[in-house]
Amino acid sequence: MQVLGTPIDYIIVGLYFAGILAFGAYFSRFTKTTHDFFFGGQRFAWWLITFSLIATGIGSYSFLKYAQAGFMRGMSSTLTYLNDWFMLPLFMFGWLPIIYFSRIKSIPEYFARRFDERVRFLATIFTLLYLLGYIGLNFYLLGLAMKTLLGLPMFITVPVVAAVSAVYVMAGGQTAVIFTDLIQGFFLYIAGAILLILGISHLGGFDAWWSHLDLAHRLPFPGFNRPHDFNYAGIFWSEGVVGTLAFTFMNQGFIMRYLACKSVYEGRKTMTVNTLVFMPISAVVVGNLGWFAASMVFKGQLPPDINPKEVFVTVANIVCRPGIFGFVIAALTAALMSTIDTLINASTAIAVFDVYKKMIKKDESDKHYLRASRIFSLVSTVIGMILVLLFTQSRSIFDAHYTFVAMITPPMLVAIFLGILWHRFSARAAFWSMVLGAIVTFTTGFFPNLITPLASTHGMDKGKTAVVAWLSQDVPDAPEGVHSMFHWQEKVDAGDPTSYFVEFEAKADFDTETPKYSGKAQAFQRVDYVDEKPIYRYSATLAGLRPRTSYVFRIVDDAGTPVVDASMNLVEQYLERHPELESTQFPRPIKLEFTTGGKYGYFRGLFSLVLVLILALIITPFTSKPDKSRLSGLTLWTIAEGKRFFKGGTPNEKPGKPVKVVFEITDESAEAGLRLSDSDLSTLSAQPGDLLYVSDIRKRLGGLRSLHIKAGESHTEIGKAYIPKVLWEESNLLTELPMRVEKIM
Amino acid sequence: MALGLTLLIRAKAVELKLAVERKWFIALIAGYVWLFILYLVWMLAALYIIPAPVGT
Repeated sequence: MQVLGTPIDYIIVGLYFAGILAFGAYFSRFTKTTHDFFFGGQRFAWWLITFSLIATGIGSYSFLKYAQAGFMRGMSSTLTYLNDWFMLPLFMFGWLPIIYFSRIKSIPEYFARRFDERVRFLATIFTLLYLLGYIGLNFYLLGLAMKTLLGLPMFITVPVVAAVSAVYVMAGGQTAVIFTDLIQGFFLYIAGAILLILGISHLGGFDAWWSHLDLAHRLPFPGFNRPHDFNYAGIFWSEGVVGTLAFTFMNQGFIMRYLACKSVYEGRKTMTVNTLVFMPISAVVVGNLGWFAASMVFKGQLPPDINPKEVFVTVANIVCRPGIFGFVIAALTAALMSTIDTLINASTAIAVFDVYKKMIKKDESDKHYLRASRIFSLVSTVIGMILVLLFTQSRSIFDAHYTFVAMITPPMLVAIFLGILWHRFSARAAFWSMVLGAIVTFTTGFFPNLITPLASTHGMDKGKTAVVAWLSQDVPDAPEGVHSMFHWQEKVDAGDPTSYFVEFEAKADFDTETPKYSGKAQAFQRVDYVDEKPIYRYSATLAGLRPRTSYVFRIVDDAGTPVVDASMNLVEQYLERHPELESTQFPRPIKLEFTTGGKYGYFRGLFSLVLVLILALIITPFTSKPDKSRLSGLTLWTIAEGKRFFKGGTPNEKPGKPVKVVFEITDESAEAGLRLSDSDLSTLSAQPGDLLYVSDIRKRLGGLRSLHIKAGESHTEIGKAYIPKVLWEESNLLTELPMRVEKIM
Repeated sequence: MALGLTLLIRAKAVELKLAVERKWFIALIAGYVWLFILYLVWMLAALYIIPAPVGT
């Protein structure tokens, strides 16, 4: 494969690294406590968190993965990014208020308070495995991407990116993560926009691109449950349900980001704008090169048998110029670092709150835990790098990603869901359903046939192979008018001696009793000469099935050994093995098979989720009811109690308006709170004891200089506030500027 | 979906008596409408029932 990169590209990437490192390290001055380190002081505005989440949601592999998916599946590759809204109401109105108002620091802490310490221990193990595995996976995928694009080995790229990420996370914690991710999100979108403009321009305009996609590539949905490896039912259940739930409900990194918002309402705004506006844009950013590639194939600008995995680099090579490509590479690393920094911070939170503070050093000062947090950030990074070695054994990007998510998450998700929805769900039931659920989930990885009963309901059975045809010189000549199945068949001339095209009746009996398919099949052989060396290309499809996305074809030799396993076959490989077959059409009989099903990636998660749920429902009635203290503020039905806990009194929900005031620092104790005038309190609709939020008057800071504070006793000086010194120091507010005050509750 | 929304209301996770919560519930429903419109326009454009935007 051709690799890219000129000196100017490397310079741009180097400058980007240095810039991010300096920018991230700058925020160390805002990190004084563990609350700052992990939750940014819980002070930020929705727009800041939203933009930072853009970058966190896009991984470095997303560009390669979705360019590949976009090329093979067309616009429906975006479905992965567009399913989330269906699952989010429970997050916005349930899970987010529960964890926010209960002041929960980690997912395992929720398990401790809702269930018991035993369940917390299990949850800690699961969550750490999940997060550390993701760190390793992301490092691995970045290394893979850089190897593909620049030809650089993983042992160089991974440590460099890891070092940069680790340094600014250790220095600035969540605040650094949020602000660097803000920059990286912009960077990603700018890179995506550049690629979009260059791609459309290269193809001759939007209409030229759109009209050169076939209908299947233009439509937003794939088939309902066909083909086996990409269909709506599979995507909905795996991405929309299991994937979305895993990311939003049990991904400590995402949850910490929402907890960094200044209020639950800000968290909801973040979720809403991110899901409805930015995720569709992200889908375009990561997938557009694949869509352009499909159009280029149609126009004859790319060969039809281009390896889908090389689509990103191939099209980037066509549309990018030196410098711009460096920008794209920087965007790829931005995508990785913005995901990695979140995961490092999140895994550190678990390590500190649920392991170190809970089991090793219980009663140390906050400064001690802050130091420990920085050390654990480094440890998490190193573990992630070590895991890269394991992921090099993985078969493919998709398999690695889906298998990992599907196997780790079901027991946790079921426990969270039943925990917030079902009062009767007890600690003992949670423990055993998680243990047994984990065993069952892991078992399906080794015995995939266990999934057959469920998978077969969606046509995703265990996978059967049937012989469609034998191709040899004896097959009939190509009839006229059969050049409609592939884009590139427009170029085929039946009289061209370099091409050979056949159409024939095919029958496929998968289980010898019920023919699953009977109809027209087409096979194609073309010979191109490169440096006088013949390159054979074979391909085949069945009528009515979408090219490239249909069933998997295999060309096998007469001994039945697979030569190629792809719907668009790479004949270079074939010739390497059979150099004696260079000059004749279908030089010896080739058996054409096609296979259905056989992959359980999509369904393993759903299967495990259902099974663990059933286990939990069976176990629960045999356990004693949980104590009421285990429910307060921790279930969907007790959120109001959580609100009272958060405020330390009855919430004041009366709507008010923010006020701008100048402030004076006093020597009063923190208990005095923020003292405002009667008039200002009236504008806020607030009373002494209500929870307020004060921030720098400059909204563009997004709450960087701000604080939650109780309203103190009132005075009569309108437009003036008194704040205790100890609280002012926490707020980072500048004395020379007025402050903005709003009521939280 | 309807079951989920009903659950949220029955559990009083959405307190519809509060104006701000009503606003959020409407936003939630509007999200579904937005996605519906997005997909509808997309499919119509894919089928050339409405012309795809033309640009360079």
